[in-house]
Amino acid sequence: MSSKMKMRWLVVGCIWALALVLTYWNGVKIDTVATERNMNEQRLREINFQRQNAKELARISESHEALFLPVESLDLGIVDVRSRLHALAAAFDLKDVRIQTEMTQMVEDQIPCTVTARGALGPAVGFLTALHKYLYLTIGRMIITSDKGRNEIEMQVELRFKYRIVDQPPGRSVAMPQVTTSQGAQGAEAL
Amino acid sequence: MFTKRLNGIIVVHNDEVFWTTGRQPNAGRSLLRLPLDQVLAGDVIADRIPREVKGNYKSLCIVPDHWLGMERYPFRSTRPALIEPFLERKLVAAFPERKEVRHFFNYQSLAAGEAENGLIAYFLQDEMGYRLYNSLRKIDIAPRYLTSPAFLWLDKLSRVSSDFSHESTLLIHMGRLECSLYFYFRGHFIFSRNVALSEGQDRLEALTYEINQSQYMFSQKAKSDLNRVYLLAASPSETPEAFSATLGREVIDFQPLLKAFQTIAFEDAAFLDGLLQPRDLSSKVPFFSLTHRKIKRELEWEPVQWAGILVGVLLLLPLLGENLLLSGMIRRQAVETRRIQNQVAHSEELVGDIEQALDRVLEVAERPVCADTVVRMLAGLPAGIQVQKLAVLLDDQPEVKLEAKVRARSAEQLKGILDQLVVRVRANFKNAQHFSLNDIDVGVDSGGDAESSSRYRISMRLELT
Repeated sequence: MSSKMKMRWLVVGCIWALALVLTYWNGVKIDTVATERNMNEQRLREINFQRQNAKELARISESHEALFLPVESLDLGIVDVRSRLHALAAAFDLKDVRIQTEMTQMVEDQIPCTVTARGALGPAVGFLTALHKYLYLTIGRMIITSDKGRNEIEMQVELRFKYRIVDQPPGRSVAMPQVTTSQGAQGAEAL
Repeated sequence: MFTKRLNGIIVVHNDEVFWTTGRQPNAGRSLLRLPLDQVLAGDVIADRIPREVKGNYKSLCIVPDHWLGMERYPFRSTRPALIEPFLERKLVAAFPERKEVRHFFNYQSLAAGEAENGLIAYFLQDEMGYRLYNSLRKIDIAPRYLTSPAFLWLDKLSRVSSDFSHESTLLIHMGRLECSLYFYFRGHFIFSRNVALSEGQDRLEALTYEINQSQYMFSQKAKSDLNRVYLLAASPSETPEAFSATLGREVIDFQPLLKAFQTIAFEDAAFLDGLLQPRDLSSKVPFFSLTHRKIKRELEWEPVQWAGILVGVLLLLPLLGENLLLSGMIRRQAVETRRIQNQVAHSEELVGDIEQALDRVLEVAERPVCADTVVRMLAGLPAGIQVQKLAVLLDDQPEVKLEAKVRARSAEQLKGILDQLVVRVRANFKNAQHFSLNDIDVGVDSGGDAESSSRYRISMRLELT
């Protein structure tokens, strides 16, 4: 094969290889443009949505933030929660209060805790009602067993403590609920 | 656009090799003249090759007629893909001592109506031809086409005579010192002879004798008589009438017929005058010629290559345009993206995050309240039921489980208490509309006191969602 023939084949090969490369490159660019355009449209829709629903979104965001206790460190958060739970149990005259944190079972931003206490049914129900106001403490399981000998109940509450590590936790306090047994008193006689 | 011209002519004549230019307007001008022996000797001539000839492979080589051989083979197919391997095989078998013959042959198909249907193969038979080609190839000036004067005359005769392809023709080409006789049968070259012309009174008679001898040989080879005789005279004294008188048949003057063609005048090869027109030196010569098989294949591929290049370039242009357009779009898009991102940065959270937050808030809001569940369960218990254990499970599948003791004197009383329980549970829990007595497990309490026969243990489970 003459050198000119080889050269022509080489030119043909190069041109077509270049055409293939360009086709692929253009395809990639088209994808890039399309993806970017979609993302921008999505962002614009989000911006418009945020503008139109700013108040609602702020409220949702605030509600969501309330589901987590902002703490400077995990240990401080646990101490804080323990003290709050002890204070709450004391407020409802619950005795033998034990709080256990399951550090081995902690996930991302949650720590399982178990609270056990003994007392009258009415205050125990009041304790549970008050606990509901602590949104960062989610009850997973609650067991009440009667202790007829003492005319009391034993209560075991398994809950998840949800926290968020922040540099400066805002001054946030949940007021101690009023001690009431009115709701639970209706069923107390069943024990 | 792609027409390429042959720009050189190599002529082998009388043991000499001439190089002439094929470029207009100097076509026919002699560039180099060397003895054939020197050329065959190889690269000793390399230094003497002029610049116009060096590296020029786009040339036509005109070799003596006797350097080309002819064989006739019966063959039915007209497909080149079958004919060419067939001829290659036949020629190699016929000339085992000259293997290169497989590269230097060409053929003409005999018309279907002819008595002997088949092929006429023409090939380079003279060893000098191969040596000359190899010598020229070594110094990179091997010609692209090989032909002989007989085929050039064949082309001219076929142009001037419409009956040429149906009859037997003799062309007498008179030179100063020799006369060439070309015999053609039905448009195919059969053989040629060069006759040295004698000086003196008997010049025409001697030539007539040679012509008659050659005519006899032609009759034997072609099995046909001559139909037409053309004369191309070298001097005015050689008239067609004189030849007609001596040959005893009509002889046609060829010179006037050639006047219609504007031909190249060769400085050093007068015998070629009137044979080549400038337009004959195109990349595809119109006359019969031999080409090295490899070069022939390359020439066949050349248009494919050019088409590939052309189509590729035509494809590249819009692709490049598209690429540039897309680059511009990406740049504009990037500017737009930065502008939007700045807006996003100033706004609070993306909707995706808000959506996630909303899901968690709703999940908490829809979750049954533990204290509320306990109160509603206890409030729904009728008198006579003593709770042993109450469990509220709120993860995964929220449910409430109750274990209790019931004091009843009879089964009817127990049923009444449980009916009451069912009614109250249904009233207190929205999801308990299908709750029934079947959902309550009843057993006798195995407690140890005397009234154990009237105490029962019940357990129930109620899904909260």
